[in-house]
Amino acid sequence: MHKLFRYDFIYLIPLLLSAIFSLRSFGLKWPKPYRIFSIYLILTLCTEIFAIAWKWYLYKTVYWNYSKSNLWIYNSFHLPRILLFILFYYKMIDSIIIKRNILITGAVLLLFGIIDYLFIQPLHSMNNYTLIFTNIFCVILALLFFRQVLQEKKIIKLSGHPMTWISLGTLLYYAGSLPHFIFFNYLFENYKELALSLLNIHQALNIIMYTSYLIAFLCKPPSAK
Amino acid sequence: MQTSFSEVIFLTILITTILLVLFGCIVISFVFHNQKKRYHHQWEILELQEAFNKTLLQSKLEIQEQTLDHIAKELHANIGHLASLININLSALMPQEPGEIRDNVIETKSLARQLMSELKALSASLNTDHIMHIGIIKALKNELNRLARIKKYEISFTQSGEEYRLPPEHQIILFRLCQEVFNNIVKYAHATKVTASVNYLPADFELEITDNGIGFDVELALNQSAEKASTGLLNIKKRAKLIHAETFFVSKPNAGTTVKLIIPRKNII
Repeated sequence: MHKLFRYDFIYLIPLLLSAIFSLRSFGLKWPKPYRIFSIYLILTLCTEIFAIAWKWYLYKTVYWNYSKSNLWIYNSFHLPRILLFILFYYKMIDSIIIKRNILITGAVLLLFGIIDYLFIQPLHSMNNYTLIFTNIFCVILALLFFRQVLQEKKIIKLSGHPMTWISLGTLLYYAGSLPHFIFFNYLFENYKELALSLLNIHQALNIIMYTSYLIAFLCKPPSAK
Repeated sequence: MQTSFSEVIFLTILITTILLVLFGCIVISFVFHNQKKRYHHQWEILELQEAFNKTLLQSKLEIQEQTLDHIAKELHANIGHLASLININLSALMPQEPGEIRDNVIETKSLARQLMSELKALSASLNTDHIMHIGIIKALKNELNRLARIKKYEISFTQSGEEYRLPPEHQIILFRLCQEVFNNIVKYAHATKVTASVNYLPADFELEITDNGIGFDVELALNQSAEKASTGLLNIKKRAKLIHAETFFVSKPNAGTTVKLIIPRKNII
């Protein structure tokens, strides 16, 4: 347990809190798409816990002895999480044309992700090709939401709207972590220490993202459309 | 060389990350700034609309008062005069000996006098100057007496607190609002009892009119009033707002109705 008190696990605090508070969306007053996002957060939390547990204890038991690397966990759970994320934005965007494009792009992305996972990149290295494309797609989704806000006739109070905070966190994290993911595998093979030190930037962005998600679920429930 | 290359990569990644995060921050602040501007713009439009509607309502009320004044003066001057002439002619026609004709003429004279009295009362209730002269309490009592003369309602009036003077505009609008409420009672309430109370409290002025009629669904009536753009409850609320009065409607089907008007003392200049 004391291992958890290292600085590189600080991001678990806002993630845990946001997952807990996201359960509020299952109350009657929250629009239904927020439940999808809540499931996404809970799945993310479970992925993180599983990945940490694997690295510390689960990789070697009486019954098995595998590599300590937990990248296969992140690779495996990335696609289901992204599917929930895309579904959430699909529900929240109003434009029918954009919704159709999200579906098509999401389907292509998922297909590519499966092919990348099974055939292109090894299991125990980060599937950064999938990550790069999903990062770009997530940035576009966040920008699409802000575009919708600017075009909407009704003026919404942004600071009190959960979707604003979700998109804010999404935009900052997925845009900021893009250079890191692009270079990660190359750096890990050739400059391991540098790759690991760059993880600090990733942790900082994680903290910003999950804190934004936490603030989103602390807001008053928006009215259902 | 290798160290410097790794430094280059580190710096590249760091700078690119900072630029991308900065881009995100710029987008977000642009959206917030734009929303703030739109919000202020919309607020300004709403304020202008509100001011325009207030001016329009005040103009409407002024025209209404002028029309009522004109009608009051016509009633008093012309129609009242004609009723007096009718009475004078009847006196001239009245036979000296008792008989059926004399009785009929006496009854007709009585009806003519009643007509003159009603005309006088109606003229007084329409005449703005008269209402401002006698004050809201007297005007309200006169209006209640007119209701009592219909012989359908049991009327009661109570007054409490130390009386203080209300501005003339407040008195006129309050009186017209009371007239509207009484009209609604006569038209819709099917009541048998009407109670009016005026409370001069230190913090505010309260006027309450209660009836024991069939009552109504207040929310439904307010919504219908808004949808049909008809005068009525919303009109009462709007006119009350002109004199900074809060209006409260308390009613349930078959449980009577209470209309309460409260003007905070600080709004009574």
